[in-house]
Amino acid sequence: MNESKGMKNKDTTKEIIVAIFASLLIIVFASAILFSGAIAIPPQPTNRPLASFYLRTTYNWEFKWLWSSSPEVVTSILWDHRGIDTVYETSVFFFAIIGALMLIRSYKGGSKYKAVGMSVIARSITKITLVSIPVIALSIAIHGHLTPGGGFQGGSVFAISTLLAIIALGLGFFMERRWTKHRLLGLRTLGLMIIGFIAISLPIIGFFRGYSGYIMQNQWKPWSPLGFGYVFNLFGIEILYSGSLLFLNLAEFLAVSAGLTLAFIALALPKEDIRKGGGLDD
Amino acid sequence: MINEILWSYIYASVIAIIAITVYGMASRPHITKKLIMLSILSDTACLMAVLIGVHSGTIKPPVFPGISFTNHPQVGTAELDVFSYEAVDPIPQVLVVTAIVIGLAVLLFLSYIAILLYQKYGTLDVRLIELRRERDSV
Amino acid sequence: MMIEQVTICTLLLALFMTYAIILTYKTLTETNLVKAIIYSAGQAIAYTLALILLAAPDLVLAYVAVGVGMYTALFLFVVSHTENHEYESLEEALKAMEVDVDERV
Repeated sequence: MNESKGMKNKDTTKEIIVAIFASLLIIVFASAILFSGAIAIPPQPTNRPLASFYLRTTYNWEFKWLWSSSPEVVTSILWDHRGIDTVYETSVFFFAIIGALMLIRSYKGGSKYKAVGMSVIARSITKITLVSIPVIALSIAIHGHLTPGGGFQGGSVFAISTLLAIIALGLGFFMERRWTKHRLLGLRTLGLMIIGFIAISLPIIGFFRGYSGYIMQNQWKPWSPLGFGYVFNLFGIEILYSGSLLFLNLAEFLAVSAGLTLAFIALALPKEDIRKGGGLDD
Repeated sequence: MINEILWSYIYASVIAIIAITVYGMASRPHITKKLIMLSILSDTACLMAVLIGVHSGTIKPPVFPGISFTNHPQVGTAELDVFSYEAVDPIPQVLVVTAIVIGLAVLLFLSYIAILLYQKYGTLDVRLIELRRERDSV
Repeated sequence: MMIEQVTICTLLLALFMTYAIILTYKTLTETNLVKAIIYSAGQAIAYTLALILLAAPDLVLAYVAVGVGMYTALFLFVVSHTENHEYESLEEALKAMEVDVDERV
């Protein structure tokens, strides 16, 4: 009894020390940000010079040295001006998907799951929305260089429709159609390989022709005269496809939707399969 | 006067949410509760980055309006001047898109590790895990 | 004395941040884990509304799918594979486990 009372006093003292330390940390951090001039209360009246530079030159048809041929400034900074950051972000996401495989290492799959989900009403409505949600996701990914959206946003909306199918239609819905972990992992790696191929294609072509290109280059520059072009002539109509942005968005959509589907199928398995397949027993 | 009070309240509430979540991560004994607080913390940091880029007056999203696949007029410097005065700063939004993806990846990995931890120790309470490790190592 | 112009956007932003603070505090002090996960989903919806007012449409599309949908489903799957209740003090946890009450002595 005496030991438990001593333990309770030690717990309360430790909590008070943690609370005081956390509040001191937050107060120091907040006052450092306030007095350094980064935040102004109320907000500043004009944009900063770097933001004004990006907004002025991304879609400027009179000065084509610095443009990226897309009116959507956020996607063009993500894939053209700061493209290597996005390649690293996609590879960090790949490590999380590999963590999913650690749970189901020796799991063989099988068609012993029946498609038992919720009631008849829920199943009929889910089958209707399973047609419309992937179409919206593909539209968000294809129009990524013209309207807000892009590859990652479309891929996560597709994964939401897969999650809905797992809960309302049962896990047998995917096991009957043979969506094994090898096929989903293969689709994910195919998307990553397309992104890597587009990234290094222009330096290699420039090497054989005597020019100098750089990694993730999109448009023609005066100091490295290679580019992907920006319009495509189809029966007299000109279609704007913004260089490599359209293909990069489609590859990212494929990679993200396959990876997140694999992550949620691995979580939805029953307990005995995870215990036998993952394993701390070997 | 009222404008300054409201903006001070908005910044103070973001900092208060950061303080609540950091305290919650350090003092609650269950691992799932710590994971929930970590997710709220990463989302609040992203919201604070977007708050810095806003300017006063009329704000518009950083997308040039009215362009489609077949209708793309040649836009010059005169129309882009109006666009660059009204649109919001696009650079914090780019960094936040990357930050959301990396936060999701870290949380997926941590929750798989939490499931494996439950299989080994039979509980997810941090104090009971400490007691069981002491008993096993003696 | 002139009253400066306060736009509707600023008032709505202050309202949604108030929702976020109240829901975060209720997430912290709740011991039933399923209720805590639902409170955190409500807080994510308040953040989505705040991001619409700050003119960031790419972030709204990403955050609705990831923050509201995937985090809630992920935590509910973790709770279904592990346990559901969080104990405040050590005595309650030991009493619920019914083993090794006195083995620490």
